[in-house]
Amino acid sequence: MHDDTEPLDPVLREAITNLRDTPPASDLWATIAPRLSMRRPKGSILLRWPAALAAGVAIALVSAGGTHYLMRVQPTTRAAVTSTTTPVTTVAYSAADSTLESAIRQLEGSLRSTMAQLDAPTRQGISRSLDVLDRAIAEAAARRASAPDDLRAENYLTNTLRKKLGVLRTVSTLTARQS
Amino acid sequence: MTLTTPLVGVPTIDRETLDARHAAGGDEAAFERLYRRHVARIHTLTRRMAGPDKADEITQDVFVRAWDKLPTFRAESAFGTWLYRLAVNVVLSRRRSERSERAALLDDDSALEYQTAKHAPAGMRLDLEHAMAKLPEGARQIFILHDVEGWTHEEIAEQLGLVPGTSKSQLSRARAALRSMLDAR
Repeated sequence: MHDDTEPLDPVLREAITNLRDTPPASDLWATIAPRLSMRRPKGSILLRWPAALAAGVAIALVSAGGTHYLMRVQPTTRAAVTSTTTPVTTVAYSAADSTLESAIRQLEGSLRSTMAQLDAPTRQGISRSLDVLDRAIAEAAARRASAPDDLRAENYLTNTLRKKLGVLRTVSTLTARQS
Repeated sequence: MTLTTPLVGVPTIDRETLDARHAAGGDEAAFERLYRRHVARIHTLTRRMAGPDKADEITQDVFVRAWDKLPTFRAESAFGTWLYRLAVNVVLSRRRSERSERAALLDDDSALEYQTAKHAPAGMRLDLEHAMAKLPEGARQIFILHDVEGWTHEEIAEQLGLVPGTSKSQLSRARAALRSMLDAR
């Protein structure tokens, strides 16, 4: 694509047409290959999009669900929920939620070592996503603790735990595929 | 059952894009195939833009950089186009680190006047490769990017941190110098 520059004269045009690409005198691959191996650890996750997408979807669902739920609770309760920083581990879970929480812990444990293989941006993205999910779980757990008979609160906590488990499974699958 | 006819409407992926995806996943054999396919073009570009002494080293850097950046390749353009852009960036960023753009252009102005005025000795025939190599670096890069590679002045100006007018005037002088050298036969 050319612009408003004056036209190329025929001699130069012909000379340019006759230009040919030529390879290097020696094969450079022998020097390049060792540099590649040093730069990217084998098994590192490069499929960032699936993991990011999964986490993003989970966050969107959790956020939407949480917003919807929090909009519907009593104002006094809402304040209590949003200001809490109750860790998940201190909440008494139902049997189903305990199973989910146990599966989450197991996966988190196994991913702890695998996560070190990931490149920094992917690791940071996943950590941020999990942080958001953890906060949603903490809020849901606090709400449930303050209103044990609230079925909606219980369902919300269960769903949020499931979503975190789903994200961890996705990351785990991708990690296994790369190793 | 063996399919004997191509599936209509099924998106296909070319071999090169497939290699790029595999290479992004750490497959060095796939990356070597990409290297073999493109090394001549990349080496020619680096040799023309940065000179034969630095061409090998810069070509290696280009492929190592490509390996690092492959996960960001989204196949929105052909792999070759993406790689070529990357190579231009590597050459130019290297040049920027070696000397300031302004100093280079000042040097180019005086050198171009010299090249335009001074004809090669009679009987000495220069082909375009050799003539380009005699241009000052900045003017040579603008000529290559514009007339050989088809970039616009706006694209060149953006890459080099110039205004388009400077790119145009440098190109005009580079052409005159080249024509002068090619004519001196």
